[in-house]
Amino acid sequence: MLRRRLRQFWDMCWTNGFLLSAVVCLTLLYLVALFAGFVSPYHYDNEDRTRSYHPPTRIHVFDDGRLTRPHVREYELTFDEDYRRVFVPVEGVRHDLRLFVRGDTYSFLGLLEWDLHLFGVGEEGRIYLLGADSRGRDLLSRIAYGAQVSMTIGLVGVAIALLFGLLLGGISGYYGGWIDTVIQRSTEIIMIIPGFFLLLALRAAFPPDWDSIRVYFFIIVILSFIGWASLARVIRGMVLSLREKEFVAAARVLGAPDRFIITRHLIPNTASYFVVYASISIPGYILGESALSLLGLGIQDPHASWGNLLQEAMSITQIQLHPWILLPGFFIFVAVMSFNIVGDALRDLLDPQQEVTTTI
Amino acid sequence: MSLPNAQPENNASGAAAEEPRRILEVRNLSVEFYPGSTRAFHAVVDANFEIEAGKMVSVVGESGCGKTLSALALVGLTPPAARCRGTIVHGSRSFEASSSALARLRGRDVGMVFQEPMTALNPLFSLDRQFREVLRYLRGVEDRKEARDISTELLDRVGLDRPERRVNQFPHQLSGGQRQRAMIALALAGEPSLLIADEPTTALDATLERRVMELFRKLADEGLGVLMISHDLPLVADVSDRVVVMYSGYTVENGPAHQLVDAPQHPYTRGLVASASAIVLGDTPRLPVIPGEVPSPDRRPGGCPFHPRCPEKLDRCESEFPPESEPVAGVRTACWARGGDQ
Amino acid sequence: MTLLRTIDLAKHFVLDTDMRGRPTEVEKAVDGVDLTLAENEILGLVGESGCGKTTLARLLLRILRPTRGEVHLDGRRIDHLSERSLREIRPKLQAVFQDPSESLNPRFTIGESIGEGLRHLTDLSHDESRRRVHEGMERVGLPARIADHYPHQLSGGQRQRVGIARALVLRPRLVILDEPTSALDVSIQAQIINLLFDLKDENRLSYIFISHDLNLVRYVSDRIGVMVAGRIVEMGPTRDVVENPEHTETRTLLEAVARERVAGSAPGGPGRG
Repeated sequence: MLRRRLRQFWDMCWTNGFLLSAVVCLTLLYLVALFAGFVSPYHYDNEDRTRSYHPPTRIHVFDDGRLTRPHVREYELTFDEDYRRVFVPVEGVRHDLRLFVRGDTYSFLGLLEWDLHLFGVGEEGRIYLLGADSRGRDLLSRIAYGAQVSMTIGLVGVAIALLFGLLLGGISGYYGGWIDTVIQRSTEIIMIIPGFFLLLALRAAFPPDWDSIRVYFFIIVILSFIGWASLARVIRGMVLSLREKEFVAAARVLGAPDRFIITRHLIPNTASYFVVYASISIPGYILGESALSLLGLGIQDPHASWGNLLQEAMSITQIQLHPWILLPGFFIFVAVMSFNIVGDALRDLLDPQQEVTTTI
Repeated sequence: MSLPNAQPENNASGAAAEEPRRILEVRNLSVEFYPGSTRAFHAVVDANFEIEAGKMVSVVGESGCGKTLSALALVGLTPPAARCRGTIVHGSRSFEASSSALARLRGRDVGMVFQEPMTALNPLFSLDRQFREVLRYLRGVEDRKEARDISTELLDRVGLDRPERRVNQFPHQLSGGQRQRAMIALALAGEPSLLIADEPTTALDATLERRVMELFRKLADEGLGVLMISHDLPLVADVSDRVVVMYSGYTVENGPAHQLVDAPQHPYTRGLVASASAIVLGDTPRLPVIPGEVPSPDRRPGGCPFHPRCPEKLDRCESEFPPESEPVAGVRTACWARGGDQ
Repeated sequence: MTLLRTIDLAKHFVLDTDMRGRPTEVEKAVDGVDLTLAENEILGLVGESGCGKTTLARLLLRILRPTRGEVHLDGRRIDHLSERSLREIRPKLQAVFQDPSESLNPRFTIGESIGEGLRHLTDLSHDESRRRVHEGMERVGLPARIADHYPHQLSGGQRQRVGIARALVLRPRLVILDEPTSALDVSIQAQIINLLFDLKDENRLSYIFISHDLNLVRYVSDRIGVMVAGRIVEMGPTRDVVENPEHTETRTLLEAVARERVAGSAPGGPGRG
């Protein structure tokens, strides 16, 4: 069953260019998140205050019209005639781009300390492929580390929401009666309150000065607390109709206990829905975290997430002067878009109608 | 209107004074799924049949035999993944089976009745309103009063009691059998010459099933051509003029209904009739069976698709599909064991 | 010897209640059914859709709790038993359902489906269960290699054989057959009916055969019960019911099937053609 589905998904990827690029984007983003320390040239908190808002550096392959090793120029800060800060290249000073250089130490996959980076220019210069922030920290490195938060918060959050939504929805639908009433009223209470205010209220109930790791897990819990309710309602509805199916009657005749019927007969048959639900609701988690962090209530500096990176882009003048600080937003856009495309494709794939047409 | 060159039917009533008008002729109709790809397969292979005005023809077969697809192909309703080939003659007009012009026949020339009337009737509108829309679209009837009179008449024709009251009702106020009758009346609104009914009684109980079948017979007797799609040979054999038996995409037998039941030619038809009559007679401790499974059309055995289950299999059945032969006058069958080599 | 007996068995569904939770609209799906079934007997239940025959089956199987009345199986009253106590009864009382594509969990392999009863109701070891599953598959004519397949890979007839094997491996005494052939292709129906007969003879089974098809019920059953609106209006040996129907409903059902012309039974009459 699963193998057939994966095969169909694979086939879909090759016929649908959007889907293929979405899958490629997501794969790349997760690889970046996983190997953030390795792919980023600097540690996320490696700052150089003399190079505040350093613009993105170009990689040159020509020097004086001759082909050379790829290198970047050294820039220095001056002021133009309007007394605006500008970085201008310093003639003759170049830093060769090298692969697998030693640099800041980081913990590789949480297992060992390592200092090897995919690329870099060594100690003497600095490379800012995507520019720098106000404190001269490399934006590329911060986006890579930020991906660790932003790309996982959705997965973990959805997993928790799924666990609760499926179990409570399944129990609610299968038993009915007062159990159903209690669970459904609880979901309604959660759903009545506008999500964003609930998010803020829950965050406000806890100390503001927690460290980032605790905040990270706490945000996940808040988001899944809001997320499970809508899932539980739909799963309940599906279970209500599924429990009338003959295979549930058959299971009871065969002596299956309720626990077995709910977890093995009913919930797996809602998979076509909850797989789609999961992939479509991940963007909500990414955006929720971004919103909290943007407001300064989520991940705190110096730790990076795509949301708190955007804090720098809250003033329009900053965006005018240093447009690259909007780039984290672009990554949010790509991730959200990709999850939506994949979710749509999964919906088409798992649609029972589809099943019918392929078996004609 | 010029008549197509109709062959006189070579059967008992062929000597009738009036030559029946042929309203549908299907020639070498094939429906292929996913043509050109590795999973391509034929769901219908070289179907040939014809319907005259006032006749009821039933296409009978098991699930996946292609009976519904053949009917849908007549009005260009096959799924997008399918490609049709062959010739379809509606009255005096001849169409390529792949032609999109077939769609324009729906309603005015061909009325359609489906399995589940509840899905075909709009639950939000009264019958009156649904008829009005159809009548305006198909017959240009603008006047409300006139539309209402026509719909009452149609409902009366399909045997709904108190049609002048029924016309104000909503689908949910009707019983299953009444809904199916209303659906048939709606299909007649465009004054078609041919009515296609796809398993119109499977959602109904046995007693209603019978009465709805008799309604189709009555409509045929009034001059309509009826194409009935069914899986139930004993049921349709009773009311039809001709029966076409399909098996795994192939037409295996085509003959007058009574002959098909009393003296079936093809081994498949024989098997079906034997089981059915054994059930009715109830004098055997076990039922005669056709062994084996119904093949799905994309995994059909070569040659005659029935050969793995056939009690009269010959060697050549495995390699070649038999040509049509006429072992008994008026009965066309495709079987090597029934003189397919002549 | 009597295997199954019901006394005034009824199931009422509350469709609507007033503000205080008292029922205002009740559907009497089954309303006072008395029936007995002897060992090695086939009782046919026939009726139109909505007559309550499937609800009756579910009451006998104790998927539904009766509103009133008693069910005795093999001399023991079972209608009030808890789920836990029912576990002793369940192996003896099994069922085959109407639509094999609905009655098999699409996400279970064939082996898992057939072994489900053994898993819940017996203490057999894994190997022992496997052996019983294979035995059962062989008995209903399924090749052993499809144990790892999923229902969608099987034909309708094969799926119904799975449904039968699933009941059979528990070595039941009574099997309730709820329209076991009505979702099957015509040429497969006869195979399944014959298989059910063979299994009955081999294992001294009793059947309750529920169907809307009077012809089929007549062929299969030793005795027939005709159900109308939740009640059995007529019950007796097949021959008596068919030849001397007392209730109008029975007559209507008989008329509906009597005119089907099949070889040998045709009353002649002018052929149309």
